[in-house]
Amino acid sequence: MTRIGKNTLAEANDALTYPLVTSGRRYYGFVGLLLAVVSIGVYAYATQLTEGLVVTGLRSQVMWGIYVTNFVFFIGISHAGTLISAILRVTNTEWRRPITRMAEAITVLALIFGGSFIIFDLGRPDRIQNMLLYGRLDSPLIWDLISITTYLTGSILYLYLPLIPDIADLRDNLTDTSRFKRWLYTKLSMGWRGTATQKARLEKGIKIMAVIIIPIAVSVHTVVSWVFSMTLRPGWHSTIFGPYFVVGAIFSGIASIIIAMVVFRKIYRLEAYLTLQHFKYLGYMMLTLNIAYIYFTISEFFTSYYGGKPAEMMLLNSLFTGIYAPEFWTFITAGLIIPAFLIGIPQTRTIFGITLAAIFVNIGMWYKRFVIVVPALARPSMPGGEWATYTPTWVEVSITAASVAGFILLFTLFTKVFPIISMWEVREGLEKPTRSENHKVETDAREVGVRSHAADQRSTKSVEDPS
Amino acid sequence: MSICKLSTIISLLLLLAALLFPISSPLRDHGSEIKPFASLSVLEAHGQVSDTKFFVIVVSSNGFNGTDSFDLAITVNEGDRVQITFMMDEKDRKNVNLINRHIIEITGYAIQTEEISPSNPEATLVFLADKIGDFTIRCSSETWDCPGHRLMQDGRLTVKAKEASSPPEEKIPDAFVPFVEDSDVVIDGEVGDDEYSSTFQDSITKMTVYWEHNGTHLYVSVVSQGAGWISIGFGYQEGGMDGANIIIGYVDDKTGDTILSDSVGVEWKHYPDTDRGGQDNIISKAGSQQNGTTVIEFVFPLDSGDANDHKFEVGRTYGFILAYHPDADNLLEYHASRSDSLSVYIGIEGEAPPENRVEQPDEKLLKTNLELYVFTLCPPDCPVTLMVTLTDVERRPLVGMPVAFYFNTTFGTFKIGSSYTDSRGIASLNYSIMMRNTLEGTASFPGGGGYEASTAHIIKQLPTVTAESTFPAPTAKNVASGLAVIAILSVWGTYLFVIRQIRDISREERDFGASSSDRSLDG
Repeated sequence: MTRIGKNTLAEANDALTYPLVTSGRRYYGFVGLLLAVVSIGVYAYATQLTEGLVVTGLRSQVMWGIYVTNFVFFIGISHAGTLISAILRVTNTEWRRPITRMAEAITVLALIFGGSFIIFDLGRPDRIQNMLLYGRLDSPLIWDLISITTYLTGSILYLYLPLIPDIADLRDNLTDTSRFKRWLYTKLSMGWRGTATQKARLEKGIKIMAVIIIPIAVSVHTVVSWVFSMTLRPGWHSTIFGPYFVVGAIFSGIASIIIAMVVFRKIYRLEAYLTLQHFKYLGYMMLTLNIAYIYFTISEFFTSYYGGKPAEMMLLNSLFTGIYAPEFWTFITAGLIIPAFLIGIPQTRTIFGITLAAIFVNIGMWYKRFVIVVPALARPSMPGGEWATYTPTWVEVSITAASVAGFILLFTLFTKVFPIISMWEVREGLEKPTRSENHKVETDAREVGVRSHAADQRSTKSVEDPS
Repeated sequence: MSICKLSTIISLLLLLAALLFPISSPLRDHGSEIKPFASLSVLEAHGQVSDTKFFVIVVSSNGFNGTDSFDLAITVNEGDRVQITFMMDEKDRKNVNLINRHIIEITGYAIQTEEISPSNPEATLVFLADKIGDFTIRCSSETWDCPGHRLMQDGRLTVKAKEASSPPEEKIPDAFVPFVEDSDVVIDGEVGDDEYSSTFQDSITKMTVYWEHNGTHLYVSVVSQGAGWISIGFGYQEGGMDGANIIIGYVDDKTGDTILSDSVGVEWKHYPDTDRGGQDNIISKAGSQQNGTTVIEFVFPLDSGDANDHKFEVGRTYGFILAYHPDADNLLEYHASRSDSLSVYIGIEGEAPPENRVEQPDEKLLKTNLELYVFTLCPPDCPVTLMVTLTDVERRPLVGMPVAFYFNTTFGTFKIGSSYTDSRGIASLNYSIMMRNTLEGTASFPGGGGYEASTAHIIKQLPTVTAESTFPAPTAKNVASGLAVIAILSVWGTYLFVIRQIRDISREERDFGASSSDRSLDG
């Protein structure tokens, strides 16, 4: 049996398939709770469909409220995944192995739920067909539709490809499970037997997807930002919105992975695979993006302030000291300042500290999306006009809560059907000789070489000197 | 981005051009700009002068009123004084070609305009309609080679014989507020049996109103089937919420206090009178809330003297509306249910509540006639001018009347502004619109001053973009679109390639399975 470090391949297999075969009472209770929250959301949406958008806080002036805030937030989280996983894969980063699956699953689910918020925001969702029938390529909304659809398709492929060997493994070894699962594993494993040709094809597919998914992910959040910045509305019309949104998306995406990691690490007992080192590496990435986001934020607001256009100043005043100051300063404090300190100070750079920073980042970044969407709409656009008031109703709050619950629910169910850590990639990592072992092998080889050289010399000498 | 920038530059250039070369726009008050009426002598030739009926007709290379399919039909009565102003389309005014001129004539009356050209873009015919029958309005053969000549041959003027006017249709008010010299009403938040002399229940909101007046004050109680806010608004008949004197409030769920506000409706919003330079004129108020029912009671002066309130006169009919929210006390929450625009008659002393009492003759609203026109100064992305003429049934202009303008969009009706009619009954509005293809507009006169509300609609095909006006956007746009399509197709092509890899993985297994079974058969 191969033993490298403190994990063996058998131990790894057992640990990683453990969540698939055990489901306790607490698991069913948790799923029941999530289903209850989802049910409330379904009821709220039924109310909205029946009564119209009048049951929400949305009106003609603020027509994008927390639905669009959630849309941008979820699309941001989706960058967690595929983009980060792809970057780590392309750069052949070894510590990526236990993280990639989680990141890829987050991406697919976040895209599905993010896209749903656009449907929720429609008063007449039955008319969405008009977007396809009569949509114009001039419209950023059409760009959004195309880019998100493309990204979702690519993300599903990118999640599925590395899953194939693991599904085949489960097909062969997880025989004591339900018929449905056995059927599912047989179908989805695509007849994988791990032959050299199959491996070559799989690796080719993964490599291609890893390369292509990076520009797609960047383009998606750029296009999301263009939905705002292509308008001439003060607060939205900005040339840096593209990179600003992309950096913000990866920032909140990493935070989401960290939260998912700490949860599964605890519940599924994956401490041996998701170590402090993984959290620290992701923490460093998050800190880097945190600093980049601070830079973009200062650049965005300072240029608006320096220009001093009345409409821009009206908006800035509402954010800094006005009616939206609580949301704005929550973003600054929770989203930017606290996480920077928590990760920057060595004493708080623990798993707890990094997780706390990630939670703060997600709270702060949600508020950031809120202060992008709502104040720019609420600002009066006509001389003598008044600020519109916007308060989300129970319908919007319920649908938001249900979507978050649905996201967690599907993620939980996913981990009960598929391994949340890529088994074959971890095995591959374990089988690969570490640097110290390489050194040992090389040293042994050298020693063997020296010995054989000495032996050769001895034999030569004996030939030369028959005595 | 480039389209936005280009349209901004074009708009700025047009603005500059407009400043440097001011052109006569139908927007402006033409009082000081109208050319001397060359045909006024026609009027004198026909003798007797009565009330004037005004018409405005746009003359363009596309025909009358900008479309060859427009069926120009003007109907007047015998004896009417008719004034028709012909205006050259704004677009055509830029065409300085010598043949770009028109002379419009009316057959049978043997009158015609002076030559209409870019240098003289307006001409008016004024005459007495003393001949009965159908007559043709057409472009004269003197200008046979003018642009659109063939499209301007079939306008019709109909002069109808005078008819004895039929008696106006009488309308019964929806509700009645009786006069009571000594009111028994106690403002305590509860409605006792026979406390009020009259009651009204709305069929839509199921709200009930109890009321009476003593010649100086109005005693009102409003009951809703909800625990949220509740309101009643008084205003002009069919006036809706705009301009209404709204009493709105609620009974606090926790403290039981009754909060009532004397407010005024502005379009579809309401503001406390105190925010609009007025004062709260509610004299007494009370309310209660139990078993899902809310009651508010108040006393209000018939004539508060506040500019935000209506002066109620006995013997007249006013409009009123009702609305409530089932659970929200927040007055900014949108109503859950509201009534139609209802009418209420303020009774005279000694007048019993009639079962079939009819409207007083002096209260009868006169019908109005609203016509809407759309002018475009240039191709898309430029200002659009909406213009209406508001007249009574006799085509006499209504002066100083408010008219609201709307665009009908996919997402509903969008109000773009309002304006007041001038001395010719014309109101207009300029609007810069990033819109192509078809424009659907609506103008609405809310009524008032003894006149009925009226609405006019128009659907107009806007000019298409010309090559000169969009250069070089199409090229840049095509290149950008092409690159985007190539990128998207490349990505999806790559997806297909990856899917093929998956298929090949599966196929290898099938091949392997087949060869295994072959081997076993051979064995």
